[in-house]
Amino acid sequence: MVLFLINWKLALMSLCILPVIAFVALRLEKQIGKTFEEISDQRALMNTTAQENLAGVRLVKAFGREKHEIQKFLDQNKENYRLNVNQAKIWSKHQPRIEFLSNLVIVLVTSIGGFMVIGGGLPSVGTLVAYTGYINMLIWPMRMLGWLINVLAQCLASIKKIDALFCEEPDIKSPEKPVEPEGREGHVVFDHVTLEANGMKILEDICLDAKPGSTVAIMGATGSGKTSIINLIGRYYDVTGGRVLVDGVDVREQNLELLRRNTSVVMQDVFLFSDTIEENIRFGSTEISQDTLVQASKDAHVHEFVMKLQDGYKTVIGERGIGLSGGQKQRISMARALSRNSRVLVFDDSTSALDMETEHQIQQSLESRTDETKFIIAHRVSAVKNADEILFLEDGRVLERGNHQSLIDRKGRYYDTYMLQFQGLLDIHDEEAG
Amino acid sequence: MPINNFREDEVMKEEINFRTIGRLFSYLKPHLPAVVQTLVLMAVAISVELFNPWFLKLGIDKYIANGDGKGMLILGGIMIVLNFGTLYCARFRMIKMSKVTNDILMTIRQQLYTHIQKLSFSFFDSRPVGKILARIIGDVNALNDLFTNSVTSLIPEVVKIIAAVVIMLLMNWRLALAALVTLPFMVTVMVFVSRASHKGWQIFRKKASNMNAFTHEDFSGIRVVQSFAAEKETSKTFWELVTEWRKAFISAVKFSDFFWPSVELSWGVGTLVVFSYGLVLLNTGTITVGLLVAFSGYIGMFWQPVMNISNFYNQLVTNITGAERIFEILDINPEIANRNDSAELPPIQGNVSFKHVNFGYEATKPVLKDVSFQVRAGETIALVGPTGVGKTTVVNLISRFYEAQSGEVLIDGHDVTKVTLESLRSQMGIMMQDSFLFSGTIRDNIRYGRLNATDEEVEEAAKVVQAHEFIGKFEKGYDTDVNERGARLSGGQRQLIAFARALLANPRILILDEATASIDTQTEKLVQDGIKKLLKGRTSFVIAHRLSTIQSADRIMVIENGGISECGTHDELMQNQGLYWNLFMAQFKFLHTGEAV
Repeated sequence: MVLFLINWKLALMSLCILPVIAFVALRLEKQIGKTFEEISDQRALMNTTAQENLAGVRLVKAFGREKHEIQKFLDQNKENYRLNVNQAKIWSKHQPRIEFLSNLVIVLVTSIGGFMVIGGGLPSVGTLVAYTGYINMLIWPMRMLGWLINVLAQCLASIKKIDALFCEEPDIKSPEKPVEPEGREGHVVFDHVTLEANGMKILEDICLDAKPGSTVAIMGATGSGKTSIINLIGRYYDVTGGRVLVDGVDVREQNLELLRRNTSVVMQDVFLFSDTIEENIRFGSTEISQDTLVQASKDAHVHEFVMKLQDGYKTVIGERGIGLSGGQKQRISMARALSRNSRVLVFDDSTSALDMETEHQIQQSLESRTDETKFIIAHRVSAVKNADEILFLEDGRVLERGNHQSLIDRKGRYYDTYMLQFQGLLDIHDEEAG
Repeated sequence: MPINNFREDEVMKEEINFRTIGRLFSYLKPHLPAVVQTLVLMAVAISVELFNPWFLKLGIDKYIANGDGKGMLILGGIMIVLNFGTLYCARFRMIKMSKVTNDILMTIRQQLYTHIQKLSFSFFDSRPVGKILARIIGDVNALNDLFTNSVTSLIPEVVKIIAAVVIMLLMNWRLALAALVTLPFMVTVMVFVSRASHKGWQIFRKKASNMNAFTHEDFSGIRVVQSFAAEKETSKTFWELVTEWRKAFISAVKFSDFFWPSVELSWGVGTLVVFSYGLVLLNTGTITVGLLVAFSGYIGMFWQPVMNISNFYNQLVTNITGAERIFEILDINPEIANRNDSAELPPIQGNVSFKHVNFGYEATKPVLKDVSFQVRAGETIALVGPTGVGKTTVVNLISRFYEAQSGEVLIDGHDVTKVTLESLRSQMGIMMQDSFLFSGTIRDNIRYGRLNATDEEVEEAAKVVQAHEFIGKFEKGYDTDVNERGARLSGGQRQLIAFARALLANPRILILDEATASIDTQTEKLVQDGIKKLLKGRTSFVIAHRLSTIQSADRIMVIENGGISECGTHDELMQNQGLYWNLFMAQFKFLHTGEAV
């Protein structure tokens, strides 16, 4: 405004360069935006490589693959370099142009303004000086435009990533009007359940009725669908046929959080935080009383080895339980599940790293807990033999079912497994009998 | 070594170390020619920039005042040409410098990564992965602008300041001194602020590291989190960590924010002084209007670089903590490394012996006490004992993941600590408790065992461990991504793939640490038969809890109370009626009760 008041001709002239600057700035935005997205993608890749390398460092060392890993990282590091230099190239192409154009305005204003002063178009030198001052004020934000766009493009690339995450809808959501079962007793029913994924049949026509307090064991070859069955109880996947009822209500109609809180799972792969043992068992829950905690730890045979540690339950364990043996880690994650007071307990191959004696003891303490319905996946006959019902799966179907004795009498796959595992014992048994 | 977790800050020295700065800038050395080129280009640009106000003065005082239109035109023309020239200088300089900076970052990052690969298990045991990651990615990135700015601002800005001061002094020394009167005030403020600020940024980086550690753990264990419906609790923990991080940022930035205002204040007051004094001088006729206008331009030319330098110093203080964290890791010496006199381990037979080995993960808590044993090439040894007794420790010493505190571990008579790590481990196949798979295809994962293996060899290994069949059922077969949605591998399947990987390495010594725990007994039997054929004459160590797995071993070692309490074949140990017999009889009892049902 002030510019026009002083001299409209000069104002108009200096303003006509501004669109040119804007044009350059827009081109910059377009090109650099793409590069920033590439950089962001590439950085994620580099991050993943480094993360996997660190997480799997034991494996890397076991195979002596340090050189290979270093090369892998170097490739990505170089790619990162290339993209960053690329970004700098685009930036250095446009930014000096903006700078030049801004300087041009001042030079032009001074020269032409000078002419005007000489020709009498402008009242005095003072006016010109003031004028240049105002032009500078106008040019300054224009100069900043380039920087601004650079930063903005970077933010935009990140925002796109974040936005994509926000737009991700969870496949499995709590229903809007959840139905709450009349009582949480732990009654689990599978009603002709089928599960398919990517056109592959994972489970086919599974029927099951686990009464409150009973124990159901699942055996079968790797990949036969054992874990899939128990994943349906906590509704980690939705069935593609039939239904799963917990306490009389279809899991799809239940509040997801309450359903899962009522189902405690001990997973195949043990997961522990780098935190104290107590926090790892509590897992953020403040509702668990000290008595429950200790009882759960005793049942899972954690208590005895924790007591031997200097700081007891306050001992900090490394990430993923480094410093503990495989069996100790399994027992802590078991204590975590037992302390929840939920009516359904699921053990997914969670005693595999325990020696037979510890396994036996834990089994006994589990058997004494009659309030919970228990699902046990195991490969050792010793872990499943006391179950009320044993399912033997093959390719997603129930091949054999019954209790230990009836399956032994049947002389099918369960019997074969039993024979394989107890060959030595059976020999002795025969000797003694004979 | 104390174990660090995500709640705990890492310990670091507090004061700014000038050696760190020196070490950081030593990375510029190999790029000296590029740096010099940049500086020359900068010099050209700066002189043009320096001349701009002078041109203005010339134009106003000489041409406009005298009504010389032609002179004005020529002057304008010269200025345009010069400025156009700087455009190209600037472009060239920016590319050059960005190459230098990014090259240095790449070098530092690679150096750090390479160094971390060399570090021993105890390093990884004691800190979360997320915190190490924070250093490789985040802390290196923090150095990003530091190098560019050190060359493009520090040196030229100093030149600019000197030039501006000299020109000002030449134009009018009284005015010049008036312009600089606020400088000492600014420097004092800066020294005090930088100390507090450095400490603040250190805390900030530590908090960022904590947050990174937690996020990393939280997402690795997301399945567990979901299964316990503990999302709220973990969100709360995350929020706490974010809050701490944010607080650390705000308190650090508060100090940093002192930098600019103190410069601006000095600048403003300085200009005020110049104009007031200039007015006096103008009235007495000592100076011209043009001179005062040009002078005010040079004041800007003096303070702008001062501002840039202080800004750079601010940045240095902010980001030097990143460099400190990087150098801290670079300075850790790997506990287990090749020695200067380490020899290559020649192709081995597979004889393994322990001689009076003592070991503990912490010096005060021995795990193995005076353990001695001998294993002949080709033997299969089963290690048996309660959990946490040290079975994994024994195999960890054979592969030299840890070193014995005293005693010797010998392979074919070679002390494992005296041969190169690579030649040792390349002759062993190790399968660990947790079957870690990299993201990528099944094929790539198996091939990790021997990088130059052909597709046929990969499939052959998969067939031996009975993995070929289930892999074939996947739509993409061996090219299935192990983390692909829907095709999530079961625990047993992952274990089989890891097994194939270990076999492909064609090891002389095979170590199976609960390698078949998640595999059903029938499949295990088939796998064992396959391995026996494939690895005839190889030594193997097996840790397992399943009787059927243990019984098939040539010898069974029972580990108890830090030592080997029994060793022998299944039959021998049964006759011995020791711990093994007890373990076995427990099963026997079970069998009875089982049949009594």
